[in-house]
Amino acid sequence: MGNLPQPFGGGRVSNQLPATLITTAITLWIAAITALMAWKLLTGSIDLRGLLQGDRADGGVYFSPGRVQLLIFTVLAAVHLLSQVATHPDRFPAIPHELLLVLGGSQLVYLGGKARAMLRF
Amino acid sequence: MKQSALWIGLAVVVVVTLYMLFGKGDPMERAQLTMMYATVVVIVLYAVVVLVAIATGEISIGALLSEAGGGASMSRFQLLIFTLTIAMSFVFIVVSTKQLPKVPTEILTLLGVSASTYAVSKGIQAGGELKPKTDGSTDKN
Repeated sequence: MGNLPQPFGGGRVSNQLPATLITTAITLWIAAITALMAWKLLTGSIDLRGLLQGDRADGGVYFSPGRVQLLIFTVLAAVHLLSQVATHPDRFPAIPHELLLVLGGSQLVYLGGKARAMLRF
Repeated sequence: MKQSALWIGLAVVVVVTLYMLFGKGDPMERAQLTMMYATVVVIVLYAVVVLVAIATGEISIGALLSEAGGGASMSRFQLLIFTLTIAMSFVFIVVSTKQLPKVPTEILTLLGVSASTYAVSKGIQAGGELKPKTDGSTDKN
């Protein structure tokens, strides 16, 4: 873009200023919405009742081991990601393929259990 | 809050218009700067309005994770956790490096897997609600 003119005066401003402003605005907003969501989750403003209960097609509920294992693997994956970023805060971490496979398997177990309960086969 | 945002936005439009008309420098560069700053300010204002509305409860997200029949959805919860995790990582990285990071394919794959699970889960839920019950009725309730 080249050097940009300074508003209402002479001289030039850095051409990094708009990019810096945009980056700062994006980062602040993401930090704020993340903190807000985490706060709402921790204080119960977002309803988590029945998180570990599966639904049946007849309207009944049951304690779902599939949901429990999905919750465990989700939390483990999230903790792993954050620990990697805390150790190397200069880039997003490389996610091992093994982790993706484990998560994929966990999703399949969850979906299989849900399908069995809802579709009754 | 919306009215304040409206007045601030109007003030910004007036300022950038004055700059556009009376500022020094090449007209084309001034026009480019004007468009760029005006767009950024409007988007930021909208983002702040949404953020404040969520914080004050004007936009209710209490049922964000709830399924149609009640109870929290595990697939929605997972998608939310991964989104928040990646967002927090993004903030850490930007604060450390002072620039926007490149997003590796594996991160997108992780989000894609979670989003796909959510979509399939919705499909299963919908299929279960449409399936006739043992007494012959199809009423979801």
